[in-house]
Amino acid sequence: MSQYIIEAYEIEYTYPDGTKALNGLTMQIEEGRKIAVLGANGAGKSTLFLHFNGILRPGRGQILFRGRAVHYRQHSLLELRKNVGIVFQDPDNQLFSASVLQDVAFGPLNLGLDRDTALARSRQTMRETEIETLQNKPTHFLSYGQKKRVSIAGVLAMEPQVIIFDEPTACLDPRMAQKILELLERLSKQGKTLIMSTHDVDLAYSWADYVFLIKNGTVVGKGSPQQVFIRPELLHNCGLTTPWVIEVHRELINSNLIVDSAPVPKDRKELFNLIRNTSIGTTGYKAAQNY
Amino acid sequence: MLLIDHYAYNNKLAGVHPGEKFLFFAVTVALCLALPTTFTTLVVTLLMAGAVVFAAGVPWRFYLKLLLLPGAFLAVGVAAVAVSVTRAPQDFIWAIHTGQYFAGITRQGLDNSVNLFLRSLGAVSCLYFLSLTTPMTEIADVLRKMRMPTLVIELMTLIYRFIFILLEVTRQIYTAQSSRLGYKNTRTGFNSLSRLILSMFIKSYRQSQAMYDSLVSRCYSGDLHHLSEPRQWCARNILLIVTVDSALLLCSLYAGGLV
Ligand SMILES: Nc1ncnc2c1ncn2[C@@H]1O[C@H](COP(=O)(O)OP(=O)(O)OP(=O)(O)O)[C@@H](O)[C@H]1O
Ligand SMILES: [Mg+2]
Repeated sequence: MSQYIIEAYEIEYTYPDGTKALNGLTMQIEEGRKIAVLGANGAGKSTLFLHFNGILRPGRGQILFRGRAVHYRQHSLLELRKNVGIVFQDPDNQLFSASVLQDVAFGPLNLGLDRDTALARSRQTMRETEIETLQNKPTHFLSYGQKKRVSIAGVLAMEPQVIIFDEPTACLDPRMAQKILELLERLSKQGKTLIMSTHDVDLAYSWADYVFLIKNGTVVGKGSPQQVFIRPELLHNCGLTTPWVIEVHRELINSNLIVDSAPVPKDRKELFNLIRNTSIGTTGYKAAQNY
Repeated sequence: MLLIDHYAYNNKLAGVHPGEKFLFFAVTVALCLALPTTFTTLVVTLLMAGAVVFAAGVPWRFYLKLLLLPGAFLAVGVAAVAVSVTRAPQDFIWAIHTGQYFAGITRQGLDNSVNLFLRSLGAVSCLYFLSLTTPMTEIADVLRKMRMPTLVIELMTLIYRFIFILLEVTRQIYTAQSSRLGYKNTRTGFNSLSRLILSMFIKSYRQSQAMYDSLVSRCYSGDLHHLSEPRQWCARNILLIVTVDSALLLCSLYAGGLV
């Protein structure tokens, strides 16, 4: 049985202006998974993530890290933040220094590493995120995507166990988005737990191995992508749409081009394979029979 | 502002150790202020112009424009020094007489003001040299090595970053407003401007909160640790700086009649 690394039980949070952003939300996150959190704008995703890192404290309810309740004292907060890193939605909120290297090295130095180790680690992550060439540019001359990568590097350099990405691919060009996904894949292989919020249902469907749907500050759906995304009314309810892979698959079944028993394909590749295999063999025959 | 910063990161001297540039700046500005002969100040102004335009490769038109900025302030200040108001008539070069008072320009007042003007110009050129060739982050680095209190340096770092965030935010709001005809005439213009200023305050407050959150999420606990890349001092450059500044010192002592 795999262990829960982060758990949230019945948490409620109200912003000082009276907005109730989280409303009895319960969520358990298994170690080493790739988790997508989806929900309409204002559903409470970013607010939830700030709780996982101890920046916000729930008004009611409890957050557990590795089975232990988070105490909001300096020491245990630091421990939590060492293990859980957040890449914020807006990189401008995260980059505090005009120098890229300064910003990336900030976290490692805070961990108490000595200068050489911190420098080596920062260098390493800057290579991984392909920002070494930006290192002599001030952050205010970087493009949005470049800033995003710097802010990712700043968190990766701390080597946390759990990495939370608040909309990592929004506003990125397709190539850069692909690069970031490859990076996430590598991190996942290293055994890190990844949590991502996104509005991109296609991405969430093929990337995640577990999905949470959030609406008005509570979880309204969870499960593997194949379970969650085949419920159109639930998705609609959360302001989301059905991933195109599933829609095409359903359409193929409806027009009797493939048999219903075939498992729902996980991504574009599986779908194409399904189409290729069936069109020459069985379905060709099946379609012919129908006439 | 943005262009100065652009050149600070992209000039031919960007690779030089910031300490060397700071040394050159500090010694030269000290000479310019301590030995304010016309000769010294003129040489310093020209020297810095040469360093900025030829050594660092900043276009001379841009540099000239920069010099004109404080030039205007200087001219006003200097005019005030040049004019003296007295009761008794002095050996004015030129004067007007109103009632009991004389207002005019004396030989000495003129000398003083010219001297002041040149001195300020020289000092300003030195400052421009530093800010056009050395990025702010590196200046902060040098100051840190010189044991400047960390509080001051952290403030410098954050303020510097926020200046650009605010500039960006202002630009965005302004564009958004003018694309919806917010500045089509003076009246709407003032209205839009007041809203721009208001939302700037709110936005910068929100943003500073968000930035604090993100610092805290990376284990910030009161100091902005700092990591700088080890850079090599270059003996040749230091020799050059020492030579140039000693020559300047000797010449100005000679010109000032002290030797
Ligand atoms: N600092 C704040 N003060 C007051 N209310 C806030 C604040 N931040 C967020 N909210 C409110 O809390 C609710 C949840 O916001 P949150 O940012 O968590 O949503 P989200 O799911 O991340 O949305 P998005 O997809 O747009 O990023 C919203 O109604 C929002 O208006
Ligand atoms: Mg959000």
